[in-house]
Parts: sequence; structure tokens; C-alpha cells
Amino acid sequence: MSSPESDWSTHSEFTPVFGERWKEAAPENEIRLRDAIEKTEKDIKELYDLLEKQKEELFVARARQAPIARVPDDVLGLVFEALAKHLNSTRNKATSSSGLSTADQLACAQVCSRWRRVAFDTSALWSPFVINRDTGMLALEFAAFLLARTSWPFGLEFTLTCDKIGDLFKRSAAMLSRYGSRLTFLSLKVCKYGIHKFFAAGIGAHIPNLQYLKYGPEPKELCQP
Amino acid sequence: MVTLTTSDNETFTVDKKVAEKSVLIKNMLEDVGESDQAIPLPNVTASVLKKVLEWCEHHKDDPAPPENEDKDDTRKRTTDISEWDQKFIAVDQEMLFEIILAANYLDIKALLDVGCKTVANMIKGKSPEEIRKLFNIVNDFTPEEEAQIKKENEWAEDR
Repeated sequence: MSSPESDWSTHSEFTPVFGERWKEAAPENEIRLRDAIEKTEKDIKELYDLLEKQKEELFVARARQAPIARVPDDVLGLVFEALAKHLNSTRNKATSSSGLSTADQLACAQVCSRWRRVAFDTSALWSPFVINRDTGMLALEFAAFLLARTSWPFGLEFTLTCDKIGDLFKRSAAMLSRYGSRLTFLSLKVCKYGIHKFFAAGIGAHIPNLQYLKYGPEPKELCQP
Repeated sequence: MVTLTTSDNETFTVDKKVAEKSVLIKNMLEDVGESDQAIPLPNVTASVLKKVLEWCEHHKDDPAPPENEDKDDTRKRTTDISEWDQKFIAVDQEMLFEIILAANYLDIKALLDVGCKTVANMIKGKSPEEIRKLFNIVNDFTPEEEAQIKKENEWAEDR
């Protein structure tokens, strides 16, 4: 909100400063006027603060009755699902995806505590988690953060080159040893060596409820022979 | 024809095909059989029902969505809203959410879908603060939660 302060506290621009000696020896009427201006400025500031406070009070009072406050959590969840569908469709069109969450996804969880709870409960907004070569560790960290706060089944998509596989799979194995029973969808866009490494990391033992396993196409362009 | 009574005691007489876009009304009609009795809709006001019936009238010949729609199929479906629906739903926020609530209560999935997509489009591209201002939502996070949120933003690709 723009402050009117700039409009009223600039009297000094119109009253040149002649120095302390002039100020001390100023005629009576100038001193009176200076005091009056100071008082007016103080009054305006107090009024401005009061106005801001009243506006905030109005905002809080209206929030309880606002149209969106009447929407139940399950319908708010449908709104987030609709947003997720849009984000998925735009992501699929992109040539590459960083695998990190987008500001749009996070915004849903950062509006207020109710939106945060509903957003975290809406699995479609986050899952499947995309783990790729550029941001794998950060994406895994975020997935672990969310999985610790939720209970929904989730999916994982790995798009990785051979050189990045080792550490990420070890980290994934650690994460799946905790949350693997909730993993229902797994997509491995890695080479044959990568698939071997994935299961060698012991991940298979932690995913008893896996329903869909997708592998390939082998991302030849990603792997160095 | 079917007669519907709203919460503010107005009655609407509509074609059965139009009224049956609502699964709730369809089930009620099946339960009571052939009857001239008005169906009470205590959760819907006249102004909202008028809008909802306008939508039902326009979409009365649309094919019913498959009953066991796979979640993946739903995800693949376009997120676009038809031009007619866009014009229909270009209402103030109060009416938009009333339509969403009515569609939810009356069990009109396609209309609920249009409403949710419209709200999703309103959210898209906005920061949490902008969303709060748009919908008049109070930020009730504790300082600890605010600190957590700040950390979360490090995980966002387009922060």
C-alpha cells in the first residue's frame, strides 16, 4: 500500500535550512508555525496508522465471511487438483523439467495454515516426484520433507545419467526404507546399467505396494558410454 | 417437468432432462418416483439456482462422463474451459463460490470442474501474498512456520 507520508512530510523541501543560528534566533511567528507543522505531521501519522489498523481489522473481519472461507476442504482440494492438472500439462510440453516443485505448487501451501494442510493432503499436487540429473538431491530432499508430513501413496520418476545414479539411488534407498510402502508408481528413465544399479541399491525390498513400474525409453543421449 | 424449491422459497419448473444433470436431483426423482411434489433444495438460493439451471440447460445434451474414470485419464484431460463456460463463469467471487458450493451439493461434477478450474486459473502465477489479497485470507502462520516456508522456497524451480 502506498503511504501518504511522502505527500505530507516534505515541508522541509519548501522551507530552506538556514542553519542552527537562524533556527535559534527565529522570530516568534516562525517558531509557532514550525511547531504547528510538527504537530500536524504527528497527527497525520497517527491518523495514517489508525487507518492502516482499521483496514487490517476490516480485512480480518471479512476473511471470516469471505466466499472462499465457505468452501469445504475437499472442494479446495479439487481446486488444487485442477491446478496440478494444468501444471502437469505444461510440464509435459516442456522439453526439460528441473524436477523441483514450482512456485505455483508451493504458493498453495504458503497462503495460510488451512491451505497448507489441504495442499499437503492433495497428493496430485506433488506426486509423482521427478528426480533428474540436475536437481536430484534437492528434489529428493523436498520429497522426503513432504512424505514425512503426509500419508498418501506417491510416485517417483527418475530421469538420470549413469554418472549421477550412485549417490541418488543410495539416498533414494534411505528415503524408501522409511516411506517405500507408500510407493505405488515408479518410472525409471535410466539405462540398463542404471536399472541394475537401482535394484542393487536394495530399493526393491522397500517397495512392496508398487503397482506400476515403467522403465525406458533408455535416455541414450544422457549417458556417456 | 420437475419443480424445485430454493432456500429462499422460490420455485423453478424445469425439464426433467435439465434437472437430472444433478445427480442429487436424479437420485431423489428415482426415490420418489412419478410425483408432482416440489423437490426442496435448502442449500441453494434462487439467484444461484438460476445460474446453475442455465448451465444445466446449455449442457443437457452433453454425454455423461464415464462412471469409473481412471485417475490417469482425468489427469490427461485438458484443463481448458470452453468458451461458453468461460463466459458463464465470469461472475463476481461471491457468485463463483456459490456456484461451486451448489455444484458440489447438487453433485454436478462437470460444473464443479469448471468452477475449480476457474479458481485454479485465478491462483496460477500468483504469490501467496497476492492470493491472500485476492481471496481475503489472513496469514495465520507462526514465526516457526514462516521460517519453514522460507526454507521450502529453496526447493522451488521458479522462485
